[in-house]
This record gives sequence, C-alpha cells and structure tokens, in this order.
Amino acid sequence: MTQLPAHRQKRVRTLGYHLLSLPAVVLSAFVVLIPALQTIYAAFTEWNGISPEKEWVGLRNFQELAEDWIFRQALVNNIKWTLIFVTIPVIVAMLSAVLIAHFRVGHKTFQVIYLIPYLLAPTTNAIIWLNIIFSPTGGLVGFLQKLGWDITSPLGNMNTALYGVAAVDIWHYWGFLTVIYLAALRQTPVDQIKAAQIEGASGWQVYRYVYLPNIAPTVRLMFVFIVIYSFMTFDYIYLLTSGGPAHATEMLSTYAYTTAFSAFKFGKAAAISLAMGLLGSFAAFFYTWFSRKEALE
Amino acid sequence: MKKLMSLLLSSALLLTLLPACGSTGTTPPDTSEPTEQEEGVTKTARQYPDREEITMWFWGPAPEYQEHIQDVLCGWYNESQDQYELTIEFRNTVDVDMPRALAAHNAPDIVYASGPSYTAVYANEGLVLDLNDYAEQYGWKDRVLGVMYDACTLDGHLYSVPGGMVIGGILYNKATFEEKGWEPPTTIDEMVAIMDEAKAEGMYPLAAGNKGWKPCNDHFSSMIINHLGSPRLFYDALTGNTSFNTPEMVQAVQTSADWFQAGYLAGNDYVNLDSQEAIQTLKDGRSAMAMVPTLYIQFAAQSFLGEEADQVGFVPMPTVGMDEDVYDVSMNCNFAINADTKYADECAKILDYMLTAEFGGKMTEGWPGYWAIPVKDMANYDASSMTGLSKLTMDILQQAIDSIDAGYFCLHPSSFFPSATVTAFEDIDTVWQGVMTAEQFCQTVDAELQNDIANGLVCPLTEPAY
Repeated sequence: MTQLPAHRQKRVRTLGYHLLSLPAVVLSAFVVLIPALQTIYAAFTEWNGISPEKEWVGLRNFQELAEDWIFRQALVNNIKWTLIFVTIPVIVAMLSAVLIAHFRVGHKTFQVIYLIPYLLAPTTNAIIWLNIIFSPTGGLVGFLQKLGWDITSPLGNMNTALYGVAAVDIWHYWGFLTVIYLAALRQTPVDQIKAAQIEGASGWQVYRYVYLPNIAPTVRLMFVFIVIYSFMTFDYIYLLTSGGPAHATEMLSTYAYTTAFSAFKFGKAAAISLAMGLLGSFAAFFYTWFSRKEALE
Repeated sequence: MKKLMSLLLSSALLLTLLPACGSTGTTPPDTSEPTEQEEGVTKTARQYPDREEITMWFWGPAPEYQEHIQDVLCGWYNESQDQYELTIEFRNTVDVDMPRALAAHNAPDIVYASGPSYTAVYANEGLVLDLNDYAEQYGWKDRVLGVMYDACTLDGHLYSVPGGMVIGGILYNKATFEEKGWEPPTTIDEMVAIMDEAKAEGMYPLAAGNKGWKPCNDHFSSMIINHLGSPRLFYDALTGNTSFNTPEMVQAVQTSADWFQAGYLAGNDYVNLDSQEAIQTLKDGRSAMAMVPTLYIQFAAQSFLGEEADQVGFVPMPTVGMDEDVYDVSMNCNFAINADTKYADECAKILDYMLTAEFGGKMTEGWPGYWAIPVKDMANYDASSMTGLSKLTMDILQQAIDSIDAGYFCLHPSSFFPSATVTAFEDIDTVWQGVMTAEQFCQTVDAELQNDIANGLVCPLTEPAY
C-alpha cells in the first residue's frame, strides 16, 4: 500500500477537521449568523415586527437613539452594572473560594450550598425577593415596618433601585463564581505552595505570588464573561422592576424589549440590540487578543 | 457524614430541578386536568379529540378563573354542536406571543388582544378578518355601546369585538369607612380631605401600585387627568383637535405628579405593590380607598373572602366642574378572527355569544370585575341572584351603562391610544419622580401621537356628550 505524500496527508487531515466542524458551523449559521444579519439589517429600517416589508430608513434609528435620554440612561446603567459585577461578586467569590480552599472538610458541602441560588430559576429567585424580602405587605420589609422601623424597599427609590436589583443578582451569581475560582485554586501545583510556605511566605504572599498567577487565565475568562453578560443582562431587571421606577433601572436589553413588544418599533429595538452587541463584543475581542498575545509570549 | 451531607444537598438540588422536567413524560394527560406544556402556558387536554379544533389564546389568570371561562365559554360552545371543539390556551406572555404567531401564520383562530391598539396593527397587515359582514349578520353595532364598538374599527371596518368593559371609580372598604366615620366622597375636595386624614394616620391614602406591570401607571394617571383636568382632554388630543401638549394637559399631568409626590398613591410603596397587594391593603384597613378601574374587583375577590365581599363599596369618581357622573372607560381585552382560519363562521358564532348579556352574567358570577360586557342588554340583566363582588360588578355596570351610552364617558389611554403613544404615556412616572417636567413629557407623547395619527393608527372615537 502506497503512502500519500506528506502534503496530501495534511490536506486530508485538514479536510477531516473541516467536515467534523461542519455541523457546528451550519448550526451557528442558522441560529446565530442569519438572525444576527437580519437584526443588523432591521436596525436600518422602520418595521413593526409583523409586516413582511421593512422600510429602509438609513441611520435614522441611530440618530433617534443619540437624542434619546432613555437610551443614554440605559447605557449608563449598563456601565454601572458592569462595574458593580466586575468588582463586588468577584471580590466576595474570591475571598470565599480562598477560605474554602483551606477547609480540610466540608468544602464540597459549601460548594453545593453556594450553587443553590444559581441553579434556581430567575423567576423563583425574583419571587422570593419580591414577596418574602421586599414586599411591604407580606415580606420582611413589611414586618420591620410593623415593628416601627422606618424602612422601605430599595426597589422603590430612584437612587437605590439599581443597587437593589444588583444585590439580588449578585446573591444568585457569586456562589457560581466561588465554585469556578475554587476549582481553579485547587489546580495550583501543591509543590509550589509548599515551596513558598517553606520559604516563609505569608498567606497573602502565597496568594499573590503562587495562587493568583496560576488562576489568572480563569479570572480573565470570567472577567470577560461578566462584562459580556452585564451588557446583556435582562432577567432580574425585568422580573424585579421592569426597568423602573422612571427608567432608574433601565438596561439596553429591557429598553429594546419594550421598544419592540410594547411600541412595535422593531427597527429601533434592533438598533438598541446592535449597540448592546457591539459593546459586549469589545470584551470578547479584547479577550481573544489578550489570549493570543499571551500564547505567543 | 460528609458524604451523607453532600448526598442530601445534591438530592435537594435535584428535586428543585424536577418540576422543569415534569412535562416531558410520556404518560397521556388526564382529560380534565390542565397540562403545562411550556413555561407560562397552560392548556387543558382535549375532551373531543374526534372533532375539529378551534383554538383561542388568553392571558394567564388565576386557575379558578381559567376553569370558569372554560366552563362557560367552551362548555356552551362544545355542547351546542358536535363538529368542532373550542379550546383555550392560557399564556402569560400572550401579548408578546400573539404578534409573532400571527406574523408566522401560526396563530390561533380567535385572536386575543389587550386592546384595540394591538388589533389596529394586525388589521393594517391584513392578519385579522374584516368583521363587517358578521357585524351586520348578528346586529353587533346596535347591541354594543358605541364608544366600545367604534374603538374596534378602522376606516369604517370592524376588526375586533370588545371583551369586558372597565369602568373607573372609587372602591372603598365599608368597614374602614365606618370605623373612621368617613362618607363616600362626592366631590374632589371630600376625597382629598379623606386622603389627608388617612395619610396623617399612617395609612396609604389610595391603594395603588405598579409592581410587575408598568401599564398600571395608566389607571391612576388616567383617572386624575380625566377627572381633575378635563374629561375631554384625551378625546381632543386623539382626534387632532388639539395637540397633546396644551397648557390644560400639562397642568393635568402636573396634578398627577402633585398627587404622587404628596404620597396619595400608596406613599413610598407605589412601585413595591402589585395590584393584588394594593387591594389587600384596602382589605387590611391600611388604605383609605382605591381609585381604580373595575378590573380590580377581580383582585378584591382574592382578598375579601366569603361574606367579607359585602364590605366593598363603589362610588363614581367625582369630576371637577361637572355635576353629572362621568366614567373613565376602557376595554380589558378584545377579540379578532385570524385571517388564516378555516373556521371564520364558527369563530364569529363564538364572538357573538361573547357579546351577550347571558355570557357577561355567567362570567361575572364566577369572575367578578373582568367581564362587564359592553352590550346595552346588560342594563336589563337580572342579577338578583348574584351576591358579593359579582353583584357589585353588575350594580356598577347597570348604574353606569346608560350614562356611558348617553356619552358621559372619558377615554382611558391603554384602550384608545395607539401602541407607540401609550408606551410613551406609560412613562408618566418620570414626571412623578421628577426626572422630566410635565411640559417635556407632554411634548414627548405629542411627538409619538402625531406620528401615529399620520400613520392612521388612531381608532375612530365616539364624541362625548358634554
């Protein structure tokens, strides 16, 4: 049996890879690429979401958005949301992961407990917080009011509503981050840790110079995911405040939803979605660029 | 011990996930029990699988209300003949699902909508049938109150029929009023005096809230603008007689903000109370009154149980500068016929039944507050056997129907404003919260309204009599 020349062997092997990846490519094209292209096109049209015809309006939807204070408010809220989520849950999760990593017993139990809010449906979590905590009639807030405390739900105040919703989302999310960080921490080579300890490194120094460099790729990946998800956040906002009061918690996603399904302005909603997607894409591009740079180094 | 703990917690987690998998089993459904097909969708299994199915979607009310409409509407229709079966699917997101289903030509035969602004969009795209022939065949125009009938037309063509009519007014708890020595208000001054007294006592002056449903802003703002501004303001703006940003409209919007900022609308808890919780505060004596549409009686039915239902009283909302009672009216839903249906005649027969006093009476018996059918015959419906909140609903309707028919009504935004305009109007809480001025708000709404008027999306309106 004659053997194929090396260049042909390589070509056959490459063809095999392409064939194997074909189903994923076709699937992505149908469920991601085609709808994405349609959304991009719709952003330049006036369309009520029902009519088969879309009227081309060029950049008008984007001009409207530039003058739209609700869009600007939503953009600012998304940026605030991102800043909150790349700091508070990350710090809390990192602290608890480092703490649990040192537990000789019980760390699995803690992991399961921390994951429970993440595994519950957002509607369940939202109902728990709305009715059992924040409700002035049957919740903890109402109970404290009856005891004479001067307390109201944070969701009712323009200045605190965003942080009230963020608190609920962080409550649901930080346990998941903890588990991810813990898994990364546990991959740190034991000999490096032991060596540092024998050299007399303090707990902080072990974390800073041994653990952190080892878990850095995971931290960076989660950072990018948090940024992307922060620009797409929808469920907890919609369930807890629907963007209110008076747009104080409006996000690009909730504004796009209302614009599409209440006002039947699907073209403008597509333009909002496009802005949202572009902002999230920056984080993805940054991560890809950084990962490639790191691999080359 | 560690393994046991992990096992127990894992089992607990697994149990929380199981309900989501519950509908994937292969066991045939029980024919009498509702089956959850996907999240937020409930449909009862078919009872006559050999018949042709006529489908209808509806929003997702409490289970007892779902059962009641199935008994009254499907029960009547399915027993009236042996060729078709009417089935109802309850969808929590029906307003979002319906336009998508229509666009995909996969919608039910009878098209539910949360007001004529939705059906106007469907009609413009030719997705629902012109019902003029059926209207003539069944005499709907003579039967239905003019203000409701006209709202369902476009360019002289009827595209839907109204579901329940909603009448604005003041609900109060008779026990609370007796305890405080209050009389039902007949003027705005009397109403304000009660609200101030309630506020001083730490009560909510008005039971109100928009938690979970921002369009509730319409209910309270509409009542204030119509009754403290002028009942003609919305009519004049919608018909193009005036713009939306007249000084009178700006002043009326500002009055609504003044009421909110004075704490009349549930104090600091407006965004923390949903409609059910708001009515519960009325029941608990924590609120003085509820300035709401009769739609809220369905929530009262969940709070005022048994004989407590007799504690609920109603008075029309007083109007500044008018001695006559004027009613803020809207329709809670309307129904059209899918242009793709094979069963248009049967659908029309079902809609015709839904426009009878018999249907309205039967529905009100089991679902008070929602099904005040806007047909003139309701004035003569014998409601003597009704009790509690069903009786209250019928009393309100029979008290108001002649006045409304005579033109003493004012328009409620959610039913009479086109989609983009009403979406802008629902932002009235931006004025209440001090984010926008009343002038800026009225200019924003006016821009949307002029655009909608130019696109022919405002339905024809019956002119008020005053």
